[in-house]
Amino acid sequence: MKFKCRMSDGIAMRDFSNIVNTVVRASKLCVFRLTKQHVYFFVGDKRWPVIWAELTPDNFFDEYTMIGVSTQHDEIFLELEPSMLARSLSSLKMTAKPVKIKLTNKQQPCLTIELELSSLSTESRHCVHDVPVRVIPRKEWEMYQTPDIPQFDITIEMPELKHIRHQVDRMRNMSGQITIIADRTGQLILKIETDHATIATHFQGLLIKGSKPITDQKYSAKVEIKKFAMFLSGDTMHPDNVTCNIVHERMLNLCLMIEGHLTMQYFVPAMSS
Amino acid sequence: MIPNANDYKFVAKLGNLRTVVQLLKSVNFKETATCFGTDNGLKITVEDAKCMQASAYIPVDVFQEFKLKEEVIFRINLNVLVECLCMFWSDINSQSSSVAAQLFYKGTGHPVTMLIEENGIITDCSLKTQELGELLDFHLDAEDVLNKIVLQTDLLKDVLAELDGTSEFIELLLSPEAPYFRISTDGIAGECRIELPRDSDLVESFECNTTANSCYKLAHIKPAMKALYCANKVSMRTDDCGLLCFQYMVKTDAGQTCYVEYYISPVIDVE
Repeated sequence: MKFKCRMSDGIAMRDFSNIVNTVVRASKLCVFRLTKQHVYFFVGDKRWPVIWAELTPDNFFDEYTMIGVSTQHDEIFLELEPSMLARSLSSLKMTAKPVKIKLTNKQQPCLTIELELSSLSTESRHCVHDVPVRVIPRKEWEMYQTPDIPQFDITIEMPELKHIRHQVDRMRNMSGQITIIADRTGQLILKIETDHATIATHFQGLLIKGSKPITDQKYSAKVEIKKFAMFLSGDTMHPDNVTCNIVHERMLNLCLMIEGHLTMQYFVPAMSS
Repeated sequence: MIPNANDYKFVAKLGNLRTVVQLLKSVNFKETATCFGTDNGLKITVEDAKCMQASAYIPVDVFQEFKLKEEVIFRINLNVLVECLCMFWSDINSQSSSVAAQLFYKGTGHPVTMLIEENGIITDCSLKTQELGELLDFHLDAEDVLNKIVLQTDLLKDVLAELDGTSEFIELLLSPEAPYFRISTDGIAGECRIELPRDSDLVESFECNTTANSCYKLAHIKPAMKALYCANKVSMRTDDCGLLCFQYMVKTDAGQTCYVEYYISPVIDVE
């Protein structure tokens, strides 16, 4: 079992720390899965997926070496505290010096992050962070596989996240829940209902994915506004494609994509309305 | 999407959102507000514990459109109204803002509808109206006014910012003789007296006929200070019972004048 990578591109570093920071907001523990083709972050809540992020190593790392537990099962699953990883990576934003991440076995298995920090004086410092990890044994792997994506009732393009974020922040002050409604005419509605008022924001002319006939049947999901707002902070990653998928009154799935680079999916269960 | 204006008793299109939001925020010390739509404009009144009352007056000329079939009164949750108007707050600070806000009201028993539009994105807010409660009629008759001072807000801003927050009461002394104008507090740190000049450039007029000394709860004065930050001028008046009235003049970016008024009852028996 071996894992070693090197990252030196400033944008890749920024995106990588943003992804980790998003994961931090969602959970205390996450699973970091390594395969030859992809790197994954997985956050689950009692086996239900919450966040699923798929990264293409070639786009993030200049060097990527990985040998799995066996030739048959050429993968590594690690469980770690994302907040510790985020703290180690936080200095990346300031300096764009290469960083090395590798799996080591010190007193316990660790992800070792080696950074080169430049300082005002001429001498730069070499900095090593060890993030303790738990190597997940083979028999638990099936819990952290790619989640089954259900058949969505509707897939709609999201408007610019920073527009929505501002509105949802306001709505958050008034209500704990939000209903997301979409139809195939390209309309997306964000709605809150409180004892004092009903407020709905209508976005129109959004792209609909799929080839089902155009009807004005509405599909909706009522979710915790906190969870929805968490997803909206993803606009710091400058995604080029953000979609909202709804399974009517069952689930909201939000998907953030940077072409060939990153796919990040959020699963938000709907509340009974 | 846009409702038919003929069905409504009251239809208004707000211009100058920035000032309107400032005015509403400065009276938003309680959740519920009573709104009066008359031919002069819109008045929003908030009352606390039957001893203080604040009103914001938005005159007709601040609205881009103001249609009233008959006078209307409705009671709504002001917090929600302010939140809704702020949905585009980041943009309305700039001059080139393209935000449009419209208000619709059908009459008793109906909600107040507000439509906010920006770049084709429409937010539709339906505010439930509540049972009208009784409002006290605070007013100062000209013949009862003992003292009247008109100040530039800068003077009060500095004074009120430094008031001792641990004091429960604030005492106001106005007199035709020295010390003319004094504000005193008594808190944990000790007694504090602030004497203000009556002939400073910041004091526009100082009309005091009788020595009047009255005491107010600091907690009641605090909300009345909110309007200081958007107003240019303030008039302070007291009557023979000690009722204190602050009247702030707020200029919009386009030069129209709005008012915010606070009435504060005195504390009769401090002991």
